[in-house]
Amino acid sequence: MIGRLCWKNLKGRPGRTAAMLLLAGFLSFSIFGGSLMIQSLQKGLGGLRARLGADVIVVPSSARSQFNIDDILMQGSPGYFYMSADIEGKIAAREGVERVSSQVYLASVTASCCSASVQLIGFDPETDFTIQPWAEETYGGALGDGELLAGSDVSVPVSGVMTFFGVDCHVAAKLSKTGSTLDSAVYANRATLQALIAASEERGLNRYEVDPDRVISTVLVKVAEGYDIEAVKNDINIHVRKVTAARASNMISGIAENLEGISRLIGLFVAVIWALCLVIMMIAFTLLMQERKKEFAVLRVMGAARGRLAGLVTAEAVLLCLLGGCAGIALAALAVFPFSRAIEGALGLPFVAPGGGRALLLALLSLAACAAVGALISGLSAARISRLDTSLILREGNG
Amino acid sequence: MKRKIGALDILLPALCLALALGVAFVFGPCGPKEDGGYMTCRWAGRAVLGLGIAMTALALIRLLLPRRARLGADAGLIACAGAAIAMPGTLIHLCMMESMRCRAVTRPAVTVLCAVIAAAALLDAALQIRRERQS
Repeated sequence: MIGRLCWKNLKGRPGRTAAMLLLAGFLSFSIFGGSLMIQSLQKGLGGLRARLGADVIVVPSSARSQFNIDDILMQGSPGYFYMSADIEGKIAAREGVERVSSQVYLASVTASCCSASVQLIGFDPETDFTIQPWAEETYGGALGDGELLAGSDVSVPVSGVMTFFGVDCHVAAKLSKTGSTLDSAVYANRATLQALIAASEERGLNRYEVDPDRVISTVLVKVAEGYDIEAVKNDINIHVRKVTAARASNMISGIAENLEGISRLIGLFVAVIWALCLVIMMIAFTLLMQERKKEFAVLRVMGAARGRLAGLVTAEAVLLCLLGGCAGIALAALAVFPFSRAIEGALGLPFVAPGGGRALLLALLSLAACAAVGALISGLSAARISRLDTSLILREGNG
Repeated sequence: MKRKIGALDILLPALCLALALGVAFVFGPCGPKEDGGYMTCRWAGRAVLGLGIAMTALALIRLLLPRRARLGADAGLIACAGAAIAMPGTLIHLCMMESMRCRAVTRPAVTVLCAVIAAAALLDAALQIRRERQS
């Protein structure tokens, strides 16, 4: 009975209903959209931290001034610096070093199809502990010669073959998303890299003046359990010449700070929208109740109990908030999920949208918060209305 | 009898126009390459622009049609919206990187807008059928 009455009430005043739906929509859009953004940024940073994998990253000391991890991770411009490959062995021999793996950064190549720049990174699949564990979709076997691992942003053709400088490379696996420019890189072993460099020079394209067998760009170090990472880093800096070692976690602290700043800003923005919507909803409900005083008085005269009246008002508000809330949540989902890559590009921060289960939970919580606000505000208004004298209301304006 | 103009009668042409203008000026695909040549995503954008113009015309013509014929226009809009969704990426290849404009902006914008157009046309068709049954 209450349900049918409140549905008729809402249908009877389409303008009023639309305005209230819009407010409820704003409320849920801001809380769901804001929480999605914050969660996506946090997930992006978490993924990036895990993906770095190494405890210490070693680069040539000549490169230290030009080396900025933000450039590698977020701007896609690693800077091209090289050191002798035998440094890897020297680092591996230091006490406290459990595993080492080196990588070579090659100048990015332009794909044949479009103006996309693809970063070529050479690594040793046998010693690697930072790239292969992130293979998400495997297209076949271990990484061999003439094969590539593609970052998640690289669109792999159905054939699984990508062509660089006329050399066909089979994509062995696609890596999981980090939300950084690591996603636009392709990874190959040294032999494949050599073949690509030779093909590039044969065609008179990029001239790479490096030999991936003799030089490396970085050495990634995993510190043995029980050893202090800081002490191992200092030991490498002191005993291995011409290199600079840095803690990987310190390197992404800049990104973490930016992320915290943006998360705070989004949180503040959501709080301001909520405060505004709450005030507007309170005013709107108060005005509505004033406008509907006579309607409630008639219902009281017809025998509706105070509690029933309060229930009607609350049910109407909750229904409005649920409908508007669903619309707001759907709108926020349409704005965030399909455009996550565009948002990532605009923010310049790792951005990985949460999975279906988590997003659904966030949506339900947002809807519950929206409905709770509606119930609270309407409950207060209903309590105020129920205290008024029915006979006085009915006589108002009739004198 | 004077025909009443409903919210969907305004919304449908407006959304179709937004698709055509959007793909031309707001969420268009990647620009030219350094050598001045264009990538295939440009043609996907052009195809969506063409469909957007046709859909706008259809949505406007729909207003002049008798009630029963409007169902056909709604079906046409739904079919065109489906074709526009399939155009970037499925029927015409886009660029290589997911982070490139055609994949990050154009495709999702076209998909969302066309899905809303299809949903609005479907709703309009359902309302037409209901009115038809009532009268």
